Amino acid sequence: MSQPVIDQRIIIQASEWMAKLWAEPSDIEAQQACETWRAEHPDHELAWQRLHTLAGKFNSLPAHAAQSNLLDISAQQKRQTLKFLSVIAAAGGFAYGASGSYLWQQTVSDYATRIGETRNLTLADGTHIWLNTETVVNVEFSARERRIILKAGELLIVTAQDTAQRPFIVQTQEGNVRPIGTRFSVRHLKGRSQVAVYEGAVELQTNQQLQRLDAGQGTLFTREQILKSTPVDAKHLGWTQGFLVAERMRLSDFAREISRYRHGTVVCDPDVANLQITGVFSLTDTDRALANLAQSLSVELLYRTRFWVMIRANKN
Amino acid sequence: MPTTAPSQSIETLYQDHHSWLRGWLGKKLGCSHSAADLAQDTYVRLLVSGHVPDVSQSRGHLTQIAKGLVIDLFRRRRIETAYLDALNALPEPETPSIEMRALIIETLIEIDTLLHKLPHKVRKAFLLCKLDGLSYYEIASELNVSVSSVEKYIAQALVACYEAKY
Repeated sequence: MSQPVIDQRIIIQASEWMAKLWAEPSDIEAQQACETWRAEHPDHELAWQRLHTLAGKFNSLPAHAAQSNLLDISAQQKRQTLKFLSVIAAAGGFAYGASGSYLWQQTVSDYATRIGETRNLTLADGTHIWLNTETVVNVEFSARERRIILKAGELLIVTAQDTAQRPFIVQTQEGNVRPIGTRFSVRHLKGRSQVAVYEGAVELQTNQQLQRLDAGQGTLFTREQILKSTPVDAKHLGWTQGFLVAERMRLSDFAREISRYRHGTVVCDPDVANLQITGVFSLTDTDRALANLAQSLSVELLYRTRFWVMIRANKN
Repeated sequence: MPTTAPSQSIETLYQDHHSWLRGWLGKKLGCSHSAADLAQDTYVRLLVSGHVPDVSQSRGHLTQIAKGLVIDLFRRRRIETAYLDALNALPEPETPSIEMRALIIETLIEIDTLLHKLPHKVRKAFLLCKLDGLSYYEIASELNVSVSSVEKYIAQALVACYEAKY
């Protein structure tokens, strides 16, 4: 509505620049020329940012959905009307009939990861984000603010100084986190959000409360309240490197943590739930992590299928 | 007698034509639930546009909006079907949650909305680039055009995305 309008010629130029850079991503000269063009006028930069955000939508799909033939009309016209009606009926929950107000839904998930996948990205303003396993985020950068909406999963963010001084906001269902020059993580859990600050500080805002959290502190918050902060440790960031760093970690917590990175579940027999484990375990190969665990503690693994594993006391 | 057609309020428009529109949509869609939803959406869209048609044009105007919504609905169903088919090919434990699927479908629909007005080759080039991750060289051979045409198609698609959004 009140968004600034940009001359169409500038949009065309920005599009040509983007198409050129995509052709040859390693062409440093073209990149520099493009940056010069962007710096020439605020509208150049704004056009570029808007295109960048739009293009980001196309990166947001997990691999199984990122297929051009899903949107290929000619391939789909062969399909029978009857078939889609029955599929829609079977799918129920998210079919059109249940949503009703789809006209005004603007749900855009810019980036997503699958189970066991982590991803490292640099946003348009230079901010680095790491997506942990099974994470969905929307990135909405406008002229006024930089907003990241965490829909699912976990994020680590290292904010960059913004030339335009736009505020940075991470939004969860429970509230907003505003960083103050910082490195911090936000995780979405059922009905609550978890935040941990590693450098700088953040400001937490829920409907009811506003609270500052400094480096080395973490907390949980719901829509209603922010819990008392507790110390955090950088070892929790092992996932950004593909590792779980355990330090006297209860086995039941270990099982739950490993479960996040693999399909199916890892359960822990109550008999061994309170055993403690220390070590560094692979999150990219969780079978190996489990095998390493079995080696270092007197536990054994019971694989029912690849997708159901139990850690229990070693019977031998 | 006024020379111009008398204007009417949206309430009258609703009272006079709502059940007729629902019936009209019901015949088109063969489903009374979808028809009721789309009839409602038609009026909401009319309300948002702020333009109430003259009495003589009421039904023509309503069906014009409703037709657009029917096309949107078919497009949505087409995408949902294609996606659910693709899901069937996945091993069961990798199937995303219902919420995740809904998000993915929304994203696919939004992408489709951005691109649907483009010529086939332009659209295809852009999707092959952004979704399938092909290089311009691979796209060029897939579409049987030159690499420089691919670059032009991509730029054209970006302009179209921009215009669809802003």
